[in-house]
Amino acid sequence: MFAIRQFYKRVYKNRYGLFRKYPWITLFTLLIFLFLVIIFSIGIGSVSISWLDSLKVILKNVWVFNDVVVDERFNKIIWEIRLPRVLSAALIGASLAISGAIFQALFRNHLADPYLIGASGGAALAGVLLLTSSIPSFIFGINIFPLVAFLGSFLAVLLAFFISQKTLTGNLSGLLLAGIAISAFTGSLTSLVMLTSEPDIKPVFSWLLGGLSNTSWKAFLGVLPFFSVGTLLIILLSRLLNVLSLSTNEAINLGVDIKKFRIIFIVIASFLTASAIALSGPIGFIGLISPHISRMILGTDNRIVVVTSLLIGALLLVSADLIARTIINPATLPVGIIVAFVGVPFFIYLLIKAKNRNYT
Amino acid sequence: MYLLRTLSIILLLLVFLIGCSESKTQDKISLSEDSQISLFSDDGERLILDKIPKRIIAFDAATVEILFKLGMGENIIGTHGFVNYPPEAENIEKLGDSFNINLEKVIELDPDLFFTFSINSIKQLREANIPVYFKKSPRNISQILERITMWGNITGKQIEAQNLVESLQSKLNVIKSFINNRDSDKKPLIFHDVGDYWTTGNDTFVGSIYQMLNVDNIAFDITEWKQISQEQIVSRNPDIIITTFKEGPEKYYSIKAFSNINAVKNKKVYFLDPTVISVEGPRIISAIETLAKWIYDFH
Repeated sequence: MFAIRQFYKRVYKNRYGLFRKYPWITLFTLLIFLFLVIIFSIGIGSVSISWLDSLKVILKNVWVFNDVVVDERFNKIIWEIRLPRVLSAALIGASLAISGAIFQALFRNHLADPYLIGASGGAALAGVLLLTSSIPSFIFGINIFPLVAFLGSFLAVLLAFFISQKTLTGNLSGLLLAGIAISAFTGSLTSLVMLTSEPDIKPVFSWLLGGLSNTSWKAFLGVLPFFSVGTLLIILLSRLLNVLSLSTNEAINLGVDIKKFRIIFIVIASFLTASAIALSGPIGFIGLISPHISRMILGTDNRIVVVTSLLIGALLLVSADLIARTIINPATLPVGIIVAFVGVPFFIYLLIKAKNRNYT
Repeated sequence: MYLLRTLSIILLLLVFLIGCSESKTQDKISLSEDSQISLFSDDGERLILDKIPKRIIAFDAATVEILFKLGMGENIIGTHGFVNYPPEAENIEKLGDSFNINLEKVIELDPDLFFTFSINSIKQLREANIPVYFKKSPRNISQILERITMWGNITGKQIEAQNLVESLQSKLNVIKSFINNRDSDKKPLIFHDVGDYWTTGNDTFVGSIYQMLNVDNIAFDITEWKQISQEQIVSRNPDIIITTFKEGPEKYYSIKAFSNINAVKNKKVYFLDPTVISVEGPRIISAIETLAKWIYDFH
């Protein structure tokens, strides 16, 4: 018995050792895996279209094969609906995961998630107000809904930040408390608006659970610049994230302007979160578990955590959305439900497996 | 002689029994000689009214519309917060919603009859000795007509109810015969969108209206209300899209993925006032007329 345990210990230790020693291998594997899942997701959907036809559609649109003959319906379904949706899912998952990683490092708290300081509550309130008001969400053919959700999210974070500056409890815990207070406040207002509005609240409710039914190339390309710049900055600054996750005194001793960099990180993370919410509504849990999974595999170095969580978040959300849009065909489910339904058991499994390894 | 007597007694008993069972199936209302009305709620509870109710709380938008049509609007002393039609209904006291009834106020108002479409809180109301009558909402047009007759019987306005039913029936017949006498046999394909692609199958009240209008629903394989995949909208290619949110037409006309759908190409995406089609009252006829106009060019 003892020998077997020793053997397993050695094997697992070695495996982890390998992954931790050569993180590039893991990153590369994850990247390839993500790419495969995206390709796979484009081939599968509510309307079944053969792989060959899907390929033809993509060739027709991106390559010089303009003369490829495809069914116009297939073209619309693959190119205008499925592709932007899958890519948006990847982008949203990545944004939420990376902001989750930042918040967890900044607050030195493993319960932190991207919505911690009110981003989700603000967006939900703004979105629900727009949906239940008489203001049309389409003005001159432009969908202003993402913009409104983005503004709501950002205003709430700004408010939390402003309140935290006025508190005596110190920046971080003050911000945390202000965020929680604002989330509770916007949450109750959102419920009130939903309760007192006209009875048909199904669309509103499903948006609050996270839905990718309004994704389009326009919305995707609108968010892409925020995402690219934000992610790039975070990867460049991720070394500082390690310093900031030390205690305040240690960080000061290392000569880092803590306050300045904290603000920079919070601003970037909030932008990423807000743009993700604008695309899809508040999708829970991705931002919480992705960094954890990343740390379980590759340890706590934030330079690595940031990049792996990004890939894991994208992977998780693309997979969850694949299930959400096919499982009760011809109908679809809000992706947030699938994320929790599939993500939670997986997360618990990892938690139990990692119990002896003090992954944090 | 003895045999004959026994037979006649048995026969009488049979007639009596049949009579009883018939009166039970007929709308579950029976008027006995001393003008007592007994009502059977959908949960099986029986309610006996000694006189025609004059102080009615109607927790149901459709019932409020029916009672106003029967000239009983003055007798509604309370309703729920979402009732906004007819305009006079604005002045009726609002007593919360079906999940949150203001029980104290209800007791204070002391109604002769409390009607609700929702099973929530009826137990609580009965415990407070409120005369509760609970009936689920109608699932199709003929049930609406039955409901009007029922209210006519309860309020003693049988003639008004009969006139209303007949006028609705004749309007329906005009539409039906217009549809049946069309040249084309092709059934139009419709899609009903209440927002964010939430739609209904054939098994709901709204679904029944489309079936009555003799159209095919692209969401025929959906039960109740669900969010349909956009891919299916493109693939099933509806001829007409009915939205119940204001920006519906603009939304469909501006989304690139939908540009090849028949309804979009032929500019046949419409906005239908959601309160007209979601309330199972007499006003539904105007929704049906509007739909018939859009779908079949009914005039």
